[in-house]
Amino acid sequence: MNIKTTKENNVTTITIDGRLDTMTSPELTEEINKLAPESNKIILDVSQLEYISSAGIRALVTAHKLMSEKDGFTVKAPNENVMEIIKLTGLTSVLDIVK
Amino acid sequence: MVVAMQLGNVVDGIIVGNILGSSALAAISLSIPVLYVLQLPAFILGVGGSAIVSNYLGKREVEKASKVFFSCLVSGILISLIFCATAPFLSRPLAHLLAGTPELEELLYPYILVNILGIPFLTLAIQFSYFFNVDNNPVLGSMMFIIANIVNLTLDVLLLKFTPMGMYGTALSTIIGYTCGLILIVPYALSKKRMLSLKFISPAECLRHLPDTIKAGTPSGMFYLMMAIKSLILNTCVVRLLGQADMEIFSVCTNSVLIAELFVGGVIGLIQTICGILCGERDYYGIRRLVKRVITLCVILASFITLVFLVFPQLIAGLFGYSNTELMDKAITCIRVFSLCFVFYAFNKFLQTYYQTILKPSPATLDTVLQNLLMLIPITFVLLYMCGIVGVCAATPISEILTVLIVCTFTKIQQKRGKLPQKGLLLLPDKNDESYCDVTIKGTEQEAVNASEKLIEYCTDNGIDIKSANLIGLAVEEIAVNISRFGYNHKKIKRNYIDINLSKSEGKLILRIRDDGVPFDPTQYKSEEKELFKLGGINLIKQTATKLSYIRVLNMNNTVIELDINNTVPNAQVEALQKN
Repeated sequence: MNIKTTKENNVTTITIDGRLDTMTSPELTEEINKLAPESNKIILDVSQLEYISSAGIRALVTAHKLMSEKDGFTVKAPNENVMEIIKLTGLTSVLDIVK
Repeated sequence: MVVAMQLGNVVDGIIVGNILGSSALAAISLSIPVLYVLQLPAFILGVGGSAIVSNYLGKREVEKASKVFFSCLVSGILISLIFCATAPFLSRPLAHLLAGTPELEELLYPYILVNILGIPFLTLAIQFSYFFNVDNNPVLGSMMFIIANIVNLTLDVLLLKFTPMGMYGTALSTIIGYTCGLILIVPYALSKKRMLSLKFISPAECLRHLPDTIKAGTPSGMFYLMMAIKSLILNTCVVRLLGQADMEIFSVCTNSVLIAELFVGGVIGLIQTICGILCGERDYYGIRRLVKRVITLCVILASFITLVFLVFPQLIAGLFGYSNTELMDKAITCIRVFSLCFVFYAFNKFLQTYYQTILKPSPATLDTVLQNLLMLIPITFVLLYMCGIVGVCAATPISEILTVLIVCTFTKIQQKRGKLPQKGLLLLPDKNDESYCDVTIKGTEQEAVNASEKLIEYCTDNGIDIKSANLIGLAVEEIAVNISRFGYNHKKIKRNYIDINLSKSEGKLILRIRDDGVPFDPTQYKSEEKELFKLGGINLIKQTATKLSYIRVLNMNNTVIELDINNTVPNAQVEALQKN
């Protein structure tokens, strides 16, 4: 998994690709923890993400909780496979997901 | 178990031959038909019952398995009690019928009498040993025979050397030995790994289970019946046509086959234990792999024993107490010729056990009948008249070879006629109809994730859609990570390997994960997370799998996940979740 970060007007966009799994999700959580204090909103661009496991889902939930006091956390452009796993967890009504 | 049992038989023969003489060993050989008939019900019910129980356990139908277990035990006890009641009337006539000389009759009578009286204990021991094996307690199955044999052999020495009991003592030590082995029913009843229980059922229901059990146990039963008939015919011919001296040589040869059985029997026993479960799980790749290893090992072991017999025949004769110097040259030739049967004997034993375990009784029965009756008896008759006792010994390897050839030809012909639809000698679905991916990993999170990636890559390389491939990868990661985190925390767990097998068959992806960690049943798992994140990894699998099943066998967790390839995620579940 590669992580790319851009920041504009206190809105941080994190772009990830590859796999968000047991081994890679701690990296994402660490990155979000680092960026959260200086960001009002975090957008996670997952358009290039191919695979997500429950560990990845936990990372998304952690980010959602962390940013809930501010302007929030958005999951951007999940592909069909990633979206299916998010749907199965019942988190579509909790997470802010945009196409 | 087989090793323990055969080791006891071999040492028993050695003790009797050396203490009481080769005429006593010959008398025991002459009693074999009676012993086989007495043990026949126990073997039919034990082997047939355990094959059916193993199949039910493979399908996760534990209650049905318990009912079969109960009906087998009850039937075995009743039949053996009937045998027991005939002891006072039948022992003397049987001894007279089987022995060719008054000396042998006097040795035979006490041996037969005590064995008939003790048959209920032996029946129970034999049956339990089979059920221990398929019900997660293989160690108890082996322990039973180890205890029985230790007691038997100790008493053999004590009673034969220090008392005038003679043949009474030999038989009594065997019965007392197996009775002592039955004490292992207590730890079995207390075992946490035990799945079978005594499901008390009506006599009518008991009878309903018997036909299937008998059908599955028939090849084994036929084996013992054939052995009884074979021993009866061969021993009678040898003792009456060639005399007691040649009978003593022949009994050394027939006892020496127990040494081959000792080596290969334990290996072939793996087929019975594991193959039934693999068959229930439709793990054809696992079956092929197991069979390949078993056959290779059997051929190596049997060849080694043959070599030892060819090089050191006098040692084998002396081992069983044979000391007739005048006939030693003849005995040595007989032992050498007879030993040529071991490799083919092992192969026939494999065919019988394998076909019986995969519930294909016709080739198994044919092999048994040919090996012990239709091939052996006529060939023995011809060679007996041509070459005497050497010809009798040569008949065994010749009939073993012909049996293998005929059974293989029969199977091929049946397949061509469409009566056996599966392909190859193993009667499994064609390899080309399935594809496999096999991964063994150490129980670490990194390796679990690597395995997930590998299986996704395998799926996409084999034309499986990315959606299904990802779900397989997800299932592997979730289960394997869970095992590596929680499965190996216990101090007693030393080995930590996870076997992962993916096969594609009949429009389904079947993922099998085996681990030797602490027992964990994912089908019973309930998430402890209370808040908005309710679905953990195992729950994700439950949502995605068409079927999720689990069984604890041979001290290993066996989790099987099935996914329909064209409809991988049950859409109804997704829609329901979206609405909520």
